[in-house]
Amino acid sequence: MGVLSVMILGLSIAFAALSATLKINFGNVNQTAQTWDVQFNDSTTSVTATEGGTSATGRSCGTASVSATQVTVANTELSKPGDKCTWALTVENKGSIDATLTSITPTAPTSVSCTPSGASMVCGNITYKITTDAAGTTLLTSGGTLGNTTGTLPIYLIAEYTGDGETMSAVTQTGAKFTLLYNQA
Amino acid sequence: MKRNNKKIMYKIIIVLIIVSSILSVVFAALSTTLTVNVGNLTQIATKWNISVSSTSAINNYGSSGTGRDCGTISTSNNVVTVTATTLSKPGDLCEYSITFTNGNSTMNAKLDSLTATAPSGNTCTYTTFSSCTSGNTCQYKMVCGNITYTLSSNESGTSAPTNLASFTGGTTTSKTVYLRVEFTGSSPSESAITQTNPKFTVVYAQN
Repeated sequence: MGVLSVMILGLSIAFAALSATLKINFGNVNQTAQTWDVQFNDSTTSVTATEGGTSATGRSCGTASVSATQVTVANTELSKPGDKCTWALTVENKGSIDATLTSITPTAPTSVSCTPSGASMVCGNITYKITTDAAGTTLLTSGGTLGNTTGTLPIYLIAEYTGDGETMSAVTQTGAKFTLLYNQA
Repeated sequence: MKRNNKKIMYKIIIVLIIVSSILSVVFAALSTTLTVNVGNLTQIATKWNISVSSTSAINNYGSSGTGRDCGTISTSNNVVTVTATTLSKPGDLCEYSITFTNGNSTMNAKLDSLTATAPSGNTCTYTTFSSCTSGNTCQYKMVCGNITYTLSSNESGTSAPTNLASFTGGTTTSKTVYLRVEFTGSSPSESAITQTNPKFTVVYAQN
């Protein structure tokens, strides 16, 4: 019995010696102040379109109202080949973190069948698009980076009568829009 | 000791989970959706209708009817056709009026071009005017040997058809020009000559 006690005691002492304390110490963990602020330049809250086409008959370009995250164009008329309205907008990064344009999503007008293609959609006689040039030749594409603090991106919303014939009766398209998603780069 | 090690391990795991959660929440917040709404876009009903509304033969001129036979004029689907005409001596003339109408077009129209086409195999000289779109052909008279073809704003054939320059949308307006085919040579031909397919082509474009 005495020998057994000594053995058990010995074993216990041996086990208690076989342990180690592991410590993971963090040094200072600092969070510097950062801001995330990607928005439309809304220093001008209304934007007048540039009109294109032949006569002004049947053409009226609505004014675009601009807030930080929304642009809304008022009622517009385009009625004959060549009629065109171009609104100049600017996206800016006022935050301290770089941003990437992750996606551009066109939404067709209600109950209208359109052919979407990136930042463009053709809906019957009307083509809607967002471009990076006023002439409307270069579509906005995703993937671009907007640098922090001072990054700006001029973009152009264009609505154009691209059909080749006249409209026999009045037609209104409602609800067309583009959604731009920016994420941190 | 063993229990203490486990407690320490649990604490480390808990700290790591908390840190990971914080990082996840911070990452999900860094995105912005910008929306461009077009609003109502209306195409109003439009009408484009520039056409030939009427034609008529108005004058046969010349000293005598010998060797002169003015063809009849008709129009269909904006094509004016003059049937076979015979002009054989100086002064022979056939003249027709042609009326263009905008037919309640809602859009303005402008004379884009007016092209005189020579009879097949003939060389003609042309007279131009400036009422067409800049840079486009704008001819109202062609002289092809003994025969002169003219589209004029007056019956005497002395004025270019500047009245065709434009139509204003929204109102019905008619404009008349005079088609003259005249023997302007100085002497009759010694043999029969036929000039085939001379024509004028009038093109309007939206303005």
